[in-house]
Amino acid sequence: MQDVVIVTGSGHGLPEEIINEYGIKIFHYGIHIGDEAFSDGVDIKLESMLKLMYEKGIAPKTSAPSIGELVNIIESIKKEGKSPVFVVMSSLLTAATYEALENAKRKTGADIEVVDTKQVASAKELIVIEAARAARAGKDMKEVANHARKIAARTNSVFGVPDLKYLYLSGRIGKAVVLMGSMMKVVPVAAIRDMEGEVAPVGRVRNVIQVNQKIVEVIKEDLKKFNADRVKTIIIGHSDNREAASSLRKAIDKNISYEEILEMEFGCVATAQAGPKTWGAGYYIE
Amino acid sequence: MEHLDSQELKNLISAGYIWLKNNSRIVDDMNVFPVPDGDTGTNMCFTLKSVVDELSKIEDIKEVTMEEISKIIASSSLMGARGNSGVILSQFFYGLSNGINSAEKISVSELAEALHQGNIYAYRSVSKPVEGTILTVMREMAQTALENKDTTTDITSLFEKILIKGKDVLNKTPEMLPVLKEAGVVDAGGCGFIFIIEGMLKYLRGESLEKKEINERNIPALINIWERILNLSGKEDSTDADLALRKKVLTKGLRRRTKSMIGEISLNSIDIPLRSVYKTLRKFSFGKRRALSNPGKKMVEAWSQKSKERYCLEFFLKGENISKDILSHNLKDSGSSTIIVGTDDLFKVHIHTNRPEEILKVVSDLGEVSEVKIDDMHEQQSKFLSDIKDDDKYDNKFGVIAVASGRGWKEIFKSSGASYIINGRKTMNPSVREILRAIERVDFFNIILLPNDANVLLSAQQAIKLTDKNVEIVATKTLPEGISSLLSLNPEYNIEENKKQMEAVLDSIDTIMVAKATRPIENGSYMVKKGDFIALKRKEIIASGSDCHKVALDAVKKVVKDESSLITIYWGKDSNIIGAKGLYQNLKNKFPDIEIQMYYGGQYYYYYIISVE
Repeated sequence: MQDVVIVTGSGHGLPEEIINEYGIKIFHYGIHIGDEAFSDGVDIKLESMLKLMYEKGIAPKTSAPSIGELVNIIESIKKEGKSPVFVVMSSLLTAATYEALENAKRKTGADIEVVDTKQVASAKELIVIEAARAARAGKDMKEVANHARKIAARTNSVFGVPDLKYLYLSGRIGKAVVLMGSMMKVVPVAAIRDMEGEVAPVGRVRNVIQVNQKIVEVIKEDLKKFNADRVKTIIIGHSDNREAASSLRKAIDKNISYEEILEMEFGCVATAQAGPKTWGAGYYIE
Repeated sequence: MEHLDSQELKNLISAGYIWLKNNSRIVDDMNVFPVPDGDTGTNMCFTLKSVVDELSKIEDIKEVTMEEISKIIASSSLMGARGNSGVILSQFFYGLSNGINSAEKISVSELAEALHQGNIYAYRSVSKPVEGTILTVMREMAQTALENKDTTTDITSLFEKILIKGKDVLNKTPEMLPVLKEAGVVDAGGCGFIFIIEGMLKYLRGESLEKKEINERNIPALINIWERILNLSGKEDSTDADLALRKKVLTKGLRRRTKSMIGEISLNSIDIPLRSVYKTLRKFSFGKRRALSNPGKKMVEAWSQKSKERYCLEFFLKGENISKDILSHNLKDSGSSTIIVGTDDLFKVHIHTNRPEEILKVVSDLGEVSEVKIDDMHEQQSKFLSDIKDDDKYDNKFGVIAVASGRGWKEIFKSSGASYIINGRKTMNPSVREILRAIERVDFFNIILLPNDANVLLSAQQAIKLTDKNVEIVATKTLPEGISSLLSLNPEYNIEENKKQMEAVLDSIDTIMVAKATRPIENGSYMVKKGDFIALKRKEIIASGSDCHKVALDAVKKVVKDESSLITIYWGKDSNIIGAKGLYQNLKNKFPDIEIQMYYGGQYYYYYIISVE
């Protein structure tokens, strides 16, 4: 009997079938385009947002979920006699979500667990999936949360970010700001590693293939660091850049040994924050 | 150990220097008084380095008398003195060496006397001594040495005692000098002096001088900041939800950092909070145009206050029987932080002033002026503060110098992050002197140098022998190699790690240079007429003929490998964009699966430089 429900934020790419399979609950971030506010996945979808980004050059902003929605989620889970474990993107990139969760917790007086994954996008979803598996295995709230934290400590991610403008405008550029600018066409490569929870520079390269080589290099470096010879799980993620993602898949298949690999497309939130065409991999080394 | 012989004295000073050098960045970053220009640690290092260098020139030190050693210490510290604390430090060593009278070995009690002499000389050198600075730290330590000289017989335990005292006094400096307290730091010069003594003690105890440990003396400075932040987040009205939230985040972030610092014992992370605090405070006070609670506002002010005098002037004055009184009288109204040291025939002067030229004119009547150094402190300060404002730039504590020829190339290097471009002119052959000048001119102590030509490598190697700065050469042999390695730089890494990473990319790039033959060439495989085009790879001809584009295409065909994914064309001064576009099309037709980019290089001689990677 499963008595823990995993809750996570929208817009990072968790596929519908996984959400349904594990009964994961989703809270929704706000997406702001100009003066208009939308609720991610409810009244705005990736396609229409991308259209606005490409055609009008708009950089959407994101905002924290409403306390009301979080309260509702907590209460509905409690009603079923279950306990919620919130698995959330890095607190350094969304302090407001943690604020809202704290408020919701206070309002409901419920016992909840909040896991700071220190990650985003597909790496965050990787941790969500692992938490959902632990919940499925019948672990209790504390155990699931601790399991998720343990995974988070060994999960890193690395991305090619074709246009740093979006990270910059969304205030999520972290230390990667130094990668900006060159009159050459360059693709910055950035990573979130070592539980730092913020975007740090890896270097700049000249095209997609070189980005993918760099990503492979970084994964190999981490394998060495963790003293492992293969990756447990890799999730390749991309924002409207299937081509780069499949070329990354090839590079990984050729150079990295792994147990499990998944691919997903980022949702509105990750796309708004990192910009369209961003792609990369989140990976967990056991 | 009961006595110091000449060998031990030398080792002791070297150890002090090494430990100071390993920690000089921390000292630099604490530098708020008298002017926040962030060079205290570096200056003290240079001062001590000249002593260490002179001492290491002695071949068999055991054969040299203590008297000679102390003479060397006295003169070399004076000659190497730089900056406010540096000059004071040099006087300390000057006094110390004067206090050494023994022929062979120094006892504990004599060492204590010598430390005392050092302190007296240091004090005397400053026209208006200020408490809460390196002077206070020196004085209290020397006093402790004197108090213990009769009861202590072991050199190590004497150092232990004075170090405890010194740290204690250092931690009190913010109470003595208000600007330190406001800025949230202890005194930088005092801290540098503690590092020297601590290095010496480490040597005596046989401990490692590698930089790894946490520094207790920095923690009070941090706790100070921590209290300030708590103040900030507590007192501010919370009507502006956004502001309140950001503050909370800041508080959380800092708490985490402080903890991890003390837990992980990592020196490098120590100075980050100071900078983050400054940065965030500035954002709050200026960006948001919100009043801050007082400690925060004062902290920003303490760091951003512009000094009344703009220039830091230093020079030597040489002559017969120069009167120190007349000299100091002449300088009395010309500036502040005035330090005059030296003997009758050689003086070193340090002064903060707005009129450096005028001073130099006046003193040149008294004697021969040499080794003039004028630093613009306002510029240094804004540089220092802009480093603080931006964590990321701050991490990038090294600069890249690239040799380039052609306007396009210079712009490419500049826009990709090079701090300085040496003009390679037509032949890519700058002199040792030009390279050296670039090294000295760049505002970084740590420098990566990209020669970008095999010919430049030799001069570059010569140049780095002539500088005190830490310069690493990444042996790039062509301009495209230079670009690739510059792009691969990661400011999060240190200079050695970067050198490795930057060199690693060189294997994955090939460069082809297409030029017109200026004379007939005949080698085993190629017969080239004058006026024909040749394509070179690593100085070897790999294609030739009368059609420039065909030669380029042939060469690329020879170089392309299965895994090649990018060809870049840089067209030169003798070529043009239409020609480059034609070549682009030719290459595109031949290699449809490879990405091709083109840029203006503007290089001489070479119609095209083409890289394949």
